[in-house]
Amino acid sequence: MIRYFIKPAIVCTIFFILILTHPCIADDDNYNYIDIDNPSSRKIPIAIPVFVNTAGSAADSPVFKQMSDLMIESLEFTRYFNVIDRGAYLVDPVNPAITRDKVKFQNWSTIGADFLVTGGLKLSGNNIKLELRLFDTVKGKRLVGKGYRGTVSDQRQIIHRFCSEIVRHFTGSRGIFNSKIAFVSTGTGNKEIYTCDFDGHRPKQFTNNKSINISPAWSSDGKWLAYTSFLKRKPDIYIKDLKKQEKGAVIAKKGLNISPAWRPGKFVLAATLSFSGAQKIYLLTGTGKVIRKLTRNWGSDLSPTWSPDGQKIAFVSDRSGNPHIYVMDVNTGQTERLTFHGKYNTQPSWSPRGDRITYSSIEKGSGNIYVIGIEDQDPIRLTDKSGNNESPTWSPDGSLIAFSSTREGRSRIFVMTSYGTDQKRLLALPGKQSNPKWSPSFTK
Amino acid sequence: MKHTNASRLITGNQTGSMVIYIIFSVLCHAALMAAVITVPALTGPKKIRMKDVVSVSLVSIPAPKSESKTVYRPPKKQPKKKILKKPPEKKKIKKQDKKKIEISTNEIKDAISKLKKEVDEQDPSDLEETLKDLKKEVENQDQDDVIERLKNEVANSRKNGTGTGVGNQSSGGIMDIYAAEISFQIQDNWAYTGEASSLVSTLGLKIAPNGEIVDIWFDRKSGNRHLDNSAYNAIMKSNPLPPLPRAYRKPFYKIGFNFGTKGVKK
Repeated sequence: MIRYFIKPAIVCTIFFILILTHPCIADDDNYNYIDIDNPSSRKIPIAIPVFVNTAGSAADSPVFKQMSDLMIESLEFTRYFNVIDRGAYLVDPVNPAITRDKVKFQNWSTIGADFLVTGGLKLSGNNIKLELRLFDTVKGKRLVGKGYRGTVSDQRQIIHRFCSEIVRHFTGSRGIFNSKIAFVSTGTGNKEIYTCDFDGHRPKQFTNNKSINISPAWSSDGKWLAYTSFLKRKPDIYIKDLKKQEKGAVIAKKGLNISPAWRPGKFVLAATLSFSGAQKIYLLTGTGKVIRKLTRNWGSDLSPTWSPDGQKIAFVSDRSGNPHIYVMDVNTGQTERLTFHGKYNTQPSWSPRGDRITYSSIEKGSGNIYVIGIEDQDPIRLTDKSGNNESPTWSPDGSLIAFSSTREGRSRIFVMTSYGTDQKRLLALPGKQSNPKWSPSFTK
Repeated sequence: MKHTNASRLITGNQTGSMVIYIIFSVLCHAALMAAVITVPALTGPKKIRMKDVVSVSLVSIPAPKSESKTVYRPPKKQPKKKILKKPPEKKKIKKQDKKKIEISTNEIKDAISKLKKEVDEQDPSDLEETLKDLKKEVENQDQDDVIERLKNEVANSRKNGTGTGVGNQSSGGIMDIYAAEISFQIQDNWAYTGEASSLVSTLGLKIAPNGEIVDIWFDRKSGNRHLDNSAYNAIMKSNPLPPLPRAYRKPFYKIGFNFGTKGVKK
């Protein structure tokens, strides 16, 4: 009986093999992979049309455009986004759809916008009710949706809150929208300390003592600002409560009291004092009491900057003959030299991400900004042939660096990405602006 | 009589055999149909299916030029440019080793631009002369020698397992160029803001002869949502891709992409 099945079995097996291996049926699981190691753009293409009036009537108030323009300006400031020009939009600019069920995503992806922000604004008197949504136009998916209430005067705060949500979606960090920058300006004829928003808006004079005020330093909780002032004809450190605008401690020991730097997470700061002779770095309480001397080697040590974990400082020392950057573990005292190029490296600032330090280096009479990796110790110059560039300081998310530059003649404050691109002026006030110091992100 | 009985017996045997053939054939057809319906679903890779394949006519947005061209980087070790390498570990069992395509997208770009320049610069009369020369050469060549040489080349490429890199898929050289072309197009549509890292997002796609992406799936996610999304969007923004070369005979072309950020400036 079995032999009757042998022939048909062989024929059918061959038939099966032929059929199943036919290219129309075989699902070919073998394929090759190509590596793409570098995106063509480091900016996310996004579209932000003018906000729509959800009250039904035309968006006749300038607030609709003001707020949507502010969002463009704020997102572009981060250098993460490329906001596509409104002239390219393929929708009715007067009344674009704002909800997922009505937005025609293909119209946005066609013009190259991977993402879309829509806003629906209801104005009643001075009150604002704003709905904001972030969409992925390729997938046709809503990514973030928030509603805000406030007054017209709150518009910056409202827009920056949603910008924080957008940046958090892409980077995991809330970004820089709740940060400020302190700097020195000579607009009044004296070197006074000013503060402004992260984007240069709302500059405000902080000191007004008609003396020389330099080296502002924010505490990590944003409550305190320390700075050096020549109010008593010698440099002393003043500590001020930012909220209450009350005077705090004054560190006015014999000799120099300069370059304060707050230890992250603590009411403690490092500063250079010379009461014992040479300029050395000391650890002090926020009330001005000396905890201990941190540096003991020969030479002058100054400009400390803390690692984000508060365990190390980087500082400038001329112990090798010329000023160079050194890194010291404050617990063990172990110190290593970080920079070896050039002859004059100063003003270090430790990245909030902990992996790099930016500093200025004077070469052939002009200063340039560098970054150097803590591990690879590979210095990278970020500015070149653009005046004198000094005092670099990191944004709280570690994505941007603010610095002062004389590239336009007078010293102004500029901001660039941490890899040196998109160098743009932050603000221009009367006089010269210098010595910027970026604050941490304020929780509120 | 005996003869008649024998004939009947033979006829009876043949009829029985035919019945068995028919039953077997019916069973096999049923099994085949079941296999055709179920096998691809069982053996196919676990795919994240798209809801819709959006046909987009691309409007290329020029990449924003960096304002500053002042960045100076002291000479440092250049990261090795891996254009193509072995696929990452996958859950799917691979039957064959993947072959590497030894052409980088930059090289292709350069080569194309050089060729374009050369073609532009060439005098048409030169071209005609070149063609005539080529024809003569071909005519003069011993056909047997040519066939022998081609046979050797094919045998060597099979033996070495390198070839030009389209794995088990036919039309190797043409498909290498096609792969490089689409990878260039996809890279051109890839926007990612993150820092350099060792994360890699690996996607596979299935391309129809007209260049339309008919399926896309993650072979391996990077663990970074933004990187994965940006890679997915880069591919979908490139849809439709250029049509498959005519020499490619299969109904679909499959290819994978490893999106990494090693080349991102620090």
